[in-house]
Amino acid sequence: MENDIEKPPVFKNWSTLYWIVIILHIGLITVFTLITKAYS
Amino acid sequence: MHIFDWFILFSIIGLIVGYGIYKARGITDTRSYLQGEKNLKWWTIGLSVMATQASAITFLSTPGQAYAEGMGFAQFYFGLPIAMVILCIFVLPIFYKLNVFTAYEYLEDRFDLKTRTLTAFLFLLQRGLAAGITIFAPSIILSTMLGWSLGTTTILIGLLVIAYTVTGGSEAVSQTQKQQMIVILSGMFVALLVIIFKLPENVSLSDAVSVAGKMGKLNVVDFEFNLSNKYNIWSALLGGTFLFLSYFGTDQSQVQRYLSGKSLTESRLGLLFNGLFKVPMQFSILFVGLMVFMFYQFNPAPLHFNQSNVQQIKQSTLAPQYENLESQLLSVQTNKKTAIFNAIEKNGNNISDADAAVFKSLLTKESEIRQQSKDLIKTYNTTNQTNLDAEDTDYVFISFVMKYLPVGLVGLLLAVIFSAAMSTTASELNALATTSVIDIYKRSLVTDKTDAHYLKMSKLFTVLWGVIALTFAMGASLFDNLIEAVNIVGSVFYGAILGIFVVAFFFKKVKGNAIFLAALLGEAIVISLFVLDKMEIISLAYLWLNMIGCVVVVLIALLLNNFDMSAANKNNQTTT
Repeated sequence: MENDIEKPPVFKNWSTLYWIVIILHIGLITVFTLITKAYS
Repeated sequence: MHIFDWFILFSIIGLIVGYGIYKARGITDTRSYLQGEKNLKWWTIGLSVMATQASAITFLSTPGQAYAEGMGFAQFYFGLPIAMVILCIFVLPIFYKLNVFTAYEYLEDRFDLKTRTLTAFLFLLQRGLAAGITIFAPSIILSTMLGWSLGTTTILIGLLVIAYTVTGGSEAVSQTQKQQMIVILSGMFVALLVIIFKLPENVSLSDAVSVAGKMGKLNVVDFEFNLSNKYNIWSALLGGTFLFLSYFGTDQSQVQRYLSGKSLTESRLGLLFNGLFKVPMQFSILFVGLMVFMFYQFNPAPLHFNQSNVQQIKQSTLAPQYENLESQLLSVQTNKKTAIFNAIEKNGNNISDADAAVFKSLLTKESEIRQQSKDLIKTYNTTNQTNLDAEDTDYVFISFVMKYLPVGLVGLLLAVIFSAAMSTTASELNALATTSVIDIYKRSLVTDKTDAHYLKMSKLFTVLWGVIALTFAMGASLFDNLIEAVNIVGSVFYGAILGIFVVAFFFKKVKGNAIFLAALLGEAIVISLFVLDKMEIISLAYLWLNMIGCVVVVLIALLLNNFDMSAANKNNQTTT
């Protein structure tokens, strides 16, 4: 019989950290975009 | 090479091999040999994950990519942080909960044995090929330095790595990688400083960057949606995310690294650390390549960076033609250098469009001359029935290091490249052996032997995979660029593997038969698309294969499962 996998738990403490990583990444891509525009 | 450089090179390699053997001395059981002691902290996991991905290829090929095509390759990593977050949320908790040895063990629990075996087989196939390229990359260095044939150096490096890996084991791999990453990062930083220091006195870093931009080399982000363009933001964020989800979530060489963590928290933090620092690190390595490019705007760059090839051409009847191209290149380079100096003197780092047009036109002329030199090498190959590689981007950085870096630093950078290659290959061979023993040999072939037997077999499989990788390495020179070759091989297989795991995690109704057939069909479709692209019937950048493979496997699995279920319902109704 197929084993049920439990739903991932809710990460209250972790979600902030994940958002920080994503926001920093968006910031980095924005900087790279500005570099591309400025030096093209 | 100076004797002091040789001393540094051999000291570091000797210390690493010695450390590996020292770490392996207490290993008496299979679990410790393949999985380590499971006591790693997050920074060790983060650095180990980064070191596994960043091999010698990163050092040799990435600066060459920036030299030849600019900074666009940085986009390739844009999907990585997103993939890290997704893995931390959905995948790591499941692996930890089930306490699996390999990622593929979970698939038997979720589906059936045949799906586990198929996925393990796909992994073994692609990682075995990729390991070949990882061995091949540093052998280029010895070939260039000592004038030996590439085949001789490949075998030499391969045997050294195999010997080290067999004695090493997983714990030694992780511990060694931590120190190596620190050496790698500081080595590249020092190299960057030296290159900047070597720019002409009247050219500032800002001037150099500005000129590079006007030459079209600072094209970091490309927003144009084009399926045949290798690197743009769309292929990176979509295709790249799928590639990294598959690489970090389903490739045993990475899964094995973070499953050695002390706890789920340590593993998660390790992956997020990787997500934060990987993109800036790759950007920095590309920037080193960009600065090498700028250095060669003010100093004569060779017509062809692989000196071993140049020597052979110069000893042939093609020598006068080659020397003629060299003098043409020197003339273009002199004009370009004068144009750059004049533009900087006139406007500082605010280069005018007219000056930029002059740079670009001279750069185009230079490219044409370089293309002619490549054609000459191909003519030499045809005439002499040889197989010299006309592509030289992988030689750009190393030839710069050998010629222009000071004594001591040359040895250090070579040691960094060697140790990075050794640790990555060690990690790969370790994972290949683990999957072979745990998912196939112990699970399906020989199930009732002692632990000592499986430990012996683990070491034997490490040697076997080393030999297979070495055999593939002998043919690796057929690829234009090594780092691309690794990613292309990965992209052909990762999509289908990821599709299997996506179905396992998110589509609980899908059963073993449906996913097994879907994986086979999906892989066949991806390989067909890849072949069609190679035959130039369609035009599809390889990063898209990851997404296509995954989506196709998921869709076919759902379709087959529905078909299977409706057939089952029909049967039930008939029976009742």
